[in-house]
Amino acid sequence: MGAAEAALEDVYRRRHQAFAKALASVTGSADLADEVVQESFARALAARTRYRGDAPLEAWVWRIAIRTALEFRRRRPEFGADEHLDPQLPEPEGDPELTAAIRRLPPRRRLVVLLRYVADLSYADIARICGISEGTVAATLAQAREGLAEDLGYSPTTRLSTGSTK
Amino acid sequence: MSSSNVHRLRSLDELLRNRFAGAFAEPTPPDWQAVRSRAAELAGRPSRRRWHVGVLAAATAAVVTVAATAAIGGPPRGVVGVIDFFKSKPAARHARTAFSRMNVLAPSRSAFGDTAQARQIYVFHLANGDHTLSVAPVDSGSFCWTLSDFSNGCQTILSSHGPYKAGEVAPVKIGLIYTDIPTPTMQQAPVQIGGNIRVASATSLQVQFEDGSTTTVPFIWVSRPIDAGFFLYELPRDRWAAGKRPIAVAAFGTNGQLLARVTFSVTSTLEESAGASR
Repeated sequence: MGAAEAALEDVYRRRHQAFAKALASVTGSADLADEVVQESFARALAARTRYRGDAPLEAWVWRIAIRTALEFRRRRPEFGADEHLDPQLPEPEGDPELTAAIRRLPPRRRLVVLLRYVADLSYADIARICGISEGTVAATLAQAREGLAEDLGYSPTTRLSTGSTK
Repeated sequence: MSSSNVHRLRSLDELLRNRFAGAFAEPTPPDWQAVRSRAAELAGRPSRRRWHVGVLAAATAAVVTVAATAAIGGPPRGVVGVIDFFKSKPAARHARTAFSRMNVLAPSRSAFGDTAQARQIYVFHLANGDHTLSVAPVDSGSFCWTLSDFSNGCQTILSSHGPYKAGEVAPVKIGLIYTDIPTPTMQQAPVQIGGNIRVASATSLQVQFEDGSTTTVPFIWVSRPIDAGFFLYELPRDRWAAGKRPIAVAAFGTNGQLLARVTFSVTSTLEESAGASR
């Protein structure tokens, strides 16, 4: 096994859950997300000689993964032929309040939120994946956070009164 | 940013992270081997050389000896076990995913059709690990199968009556796949042989070697709608050497009569073999 493959395998084993969960929000299905994760890493493995090393390996795989998720999503008849990125929670009935709050965000802001809070990525990685600056990531997240906090009732008073965030 | 704002931001971050964590189902465990296999497919070359001999052999009809065998009710005798397809548990998610990729069950609906009919059939315990066999019927009356960490594929049912006119394809009685690795002498040496057998009257399966010796290979039989036997055999190291390698797999009936036989194209180099297999 070469060094590139070993590095990819390491990312895959460490970050498999994060990929699967975040991509489920793009594909709309946990089953399909599993498939997308496998396909994405396979594509990365097959194309590993094209990785130039100018960005972290994981960020490179994320870009492949999001493209793959969109491609797979288009094949699902229930989603129609929509080619736009429109991330959603895969099981909206599990947390309707969060689902509604997410839906109120613009699609690109939703993706940044999911990459941050589901995939647990750094601002720098999100910037590389989305092709925007770190400053834009920070601003986007700040706006999204405020909107989500309001919709979910996470006001400063609430947090202080519950004490759950101390 | 004031310290209270920083605290608020961190608190909000934590709250959202926890909230999102509860909104997603746990994904299936990672399977790097499946990723590697898929990458090999994408690259157009298997990670371990793998030749689909059976279909080629049937297409040429030159290396398969076909006996007229009518479909016989009930399983053949002498097999390791008979698996009732409908009593088998549903196939695992990774197998269903593989079948989805093969587009086996609902090709008219989408690339990801209903794979609910796929069943997990049997686990072959070999020295190099366990290999789980899952199968799925196909609308056409044929079937697809996966053998974990080995291979997967589909077997098409074709006309079972000869003689065959020019251009016609003979039925596949033995679908054969093997993996091989370069040996220290760089000679082609199959190390695992697997596949399926569609001759209901077969009671034994035999691997035949270059030195004239043979070994009996156990197989399991899967009931309708699959109606086929499956086998997976790992060759001992002493069978990797030239002069001792396998040359054919043959199926025999109750009275020892030859029912079907498919040969390997064992050549001295991997390149020659690849050319011969195309």
